[in-house]
Amino acid sequence: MKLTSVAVYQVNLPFDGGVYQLSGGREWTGMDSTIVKLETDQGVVGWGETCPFGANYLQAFAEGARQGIAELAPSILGRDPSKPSQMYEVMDRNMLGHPYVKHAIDMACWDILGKLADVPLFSLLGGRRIDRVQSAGGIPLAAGELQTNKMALHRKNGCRQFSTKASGNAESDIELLIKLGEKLQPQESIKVDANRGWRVDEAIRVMHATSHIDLYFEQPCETYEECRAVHRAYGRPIILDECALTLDTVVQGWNEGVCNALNLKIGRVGGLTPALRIRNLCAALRIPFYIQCAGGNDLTQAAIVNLAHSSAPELVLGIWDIGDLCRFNTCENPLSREDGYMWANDAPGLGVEPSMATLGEPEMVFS
Amino acid sequence: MKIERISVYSVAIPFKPLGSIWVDRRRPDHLDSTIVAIQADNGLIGFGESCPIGAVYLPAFAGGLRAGIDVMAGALIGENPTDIDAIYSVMDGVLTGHVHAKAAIDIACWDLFGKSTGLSISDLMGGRLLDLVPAYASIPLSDSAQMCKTLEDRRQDGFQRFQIKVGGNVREDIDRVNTLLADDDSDDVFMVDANRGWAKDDALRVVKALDHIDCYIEQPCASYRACLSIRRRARHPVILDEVIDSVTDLSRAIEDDALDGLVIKITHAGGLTPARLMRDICLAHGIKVRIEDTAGSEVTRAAQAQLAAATPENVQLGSYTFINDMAPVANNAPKLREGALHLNNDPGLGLDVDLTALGDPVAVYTRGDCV
Repeated sequence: MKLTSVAVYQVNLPFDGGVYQLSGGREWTGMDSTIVKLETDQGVVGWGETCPFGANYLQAFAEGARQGIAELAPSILGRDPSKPSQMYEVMDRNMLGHPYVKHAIDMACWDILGKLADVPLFSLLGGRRIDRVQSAGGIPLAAGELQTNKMALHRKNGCRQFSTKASGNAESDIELLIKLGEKLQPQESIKVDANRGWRVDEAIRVMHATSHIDLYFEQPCETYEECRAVHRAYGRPIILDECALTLDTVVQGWNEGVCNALNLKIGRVGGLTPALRIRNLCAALRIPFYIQCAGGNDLTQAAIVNLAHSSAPELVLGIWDIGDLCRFNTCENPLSREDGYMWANDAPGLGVEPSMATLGEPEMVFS
Repeated sequence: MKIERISVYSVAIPFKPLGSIWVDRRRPDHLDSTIVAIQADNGLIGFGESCPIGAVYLPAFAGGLRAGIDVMAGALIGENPTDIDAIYSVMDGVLTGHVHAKAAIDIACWDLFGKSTGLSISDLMGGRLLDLVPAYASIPLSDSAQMCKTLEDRRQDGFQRFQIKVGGNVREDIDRVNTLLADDDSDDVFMVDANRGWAKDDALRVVKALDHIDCYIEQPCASYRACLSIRRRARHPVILDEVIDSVTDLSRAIEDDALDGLVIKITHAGGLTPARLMRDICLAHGIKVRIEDTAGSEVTRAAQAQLAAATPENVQLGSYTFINDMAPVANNAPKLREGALHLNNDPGLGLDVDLTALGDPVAVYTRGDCV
């Protein structure tokens, strides 16, 4: 099988709630997604997506994704896209870094391999182990009743760990967490995601002031070393996210006792190929994990859900439901959702197909 | 797709001892290999094998292995064999440890997955990278003159990677390696394997005396700690083998900077699934791998070759290929030629197993037995 054409589409994904906020005053009104279509000489077509969350969340931005695909296209044309590892080698040889760019092409390769083998993607990733996948119970940063209502809704859906964002301001975060803590029922916990927003001293203060609440701290500070310093100072469970870019960081985090859980974002680590390795490592080391992506739409959601289906049930803490932010659909057959659960379409590969009317004309085509 | 029947065969495989572990021990002339045939409800049959070297090379032996399969079989009947990780989880749920027993089942499930999708195992693992897997020749422990002759013979066969078995006596080992390698100016790769045979002081004396020789030191001592101590005091790159049993062992060894190469024996790791993960961890840390197995028939040879073929050549130190002179149990097996294993592109393991060559099964498990 040979790759004959690479088409790149751009899609705007507006947020339903208007504005989405993260620590440090970062806010966005929508996402700029890049969808890639790989065509082969055997008629099989693969789809992939990469969608950074703005340009100031990770070292990734939408225009860079499209430029990156343009940079890679001449090297991958003519290669066999049903062999993701081989394609990944070719991409690595021709472009250093930029995992979020490779992510889109890698996803499309797995889609093709699934279609060639005539099995849903989860079969290739280890087989179906979870029938329906539970979303993480996200609570928005906005204060007040909205939070209480969201919590009640997630609780009704069986969610036992809520997820909230920190503002990065230690005083107001302490206040918020104490307030949320009062609403916790037995066996419930909160993960507070600072998205690198605190300094080490601030993180330690928050941990101290909230020591009576059952909390997980996600990516409290900028770097791995800062997170380790915080963990050593106060010993609360840490979830690594933005700083865990590669498998060796997870090994180090396990060795040093810092990686108590992982937020495995498929795009951040460079796509399904590296994400599968990290997921398997987590399983072997008994590190629980969320499966997410920085952003995206139905294709990304399908990749997340397929990886989650094939994961150990006792280790999956939850997945990201893109519908929480954006109910716009780029695919004709988006995944089904019910009461906080999602499941893959049983069609081969990713199991979802973009609607050509929604995608419009490609921005670029390489053949 | 569901598992309908598991048949277990015992196959005697001729064996010639190679290394230091056979000094002062009872040497088997045959290895007792276990081959499993897993039949699915659609009629497809997948094959797997696990063949410990006697009972003393690793904590694994044929009788225990088959007893382990006996414990797991009931839980496996009716499960989907292509749900590879789910199958492993079922096995872990009914039997702790005993990864050699699980390995045979895991390999057979991969074979079935390949046969049901029409793809080779290496393609299912993300894509075949190599059709020729680099192999190495092992030079059995003997006197220096004999070992020199064997090395030359194997060079004539086309090998460029060699393992030199040592671990008997310090003076003799130094002499062996010096005789073989002191004047060598080839680009060949040499791995000096003590198979745990040296005490720490022995190992230190050898590596100091061989300071000027460009070779790898493989599994110098019996314990992980002793190997680590040698790694810190030797100038040679170190390959670990028998002391790395699991991903947790490997992760710890990486933190300790204990190794430059890892021997991944498929059945020692617990099958293709965990072996693949150990390979991935090594690759992420710049550690080279040797993908092979303890021993076995064509089934084992095909299984190790499938994983090696899905692994970049420049991170491989080579694979050991267990070849014996018995009648083959399968046709189409990867062939060893010019220092490489040559793979076909057929589905699964790519084998055509001859069921009559396996004899009568020693155990058969079917749905009826497990109600």
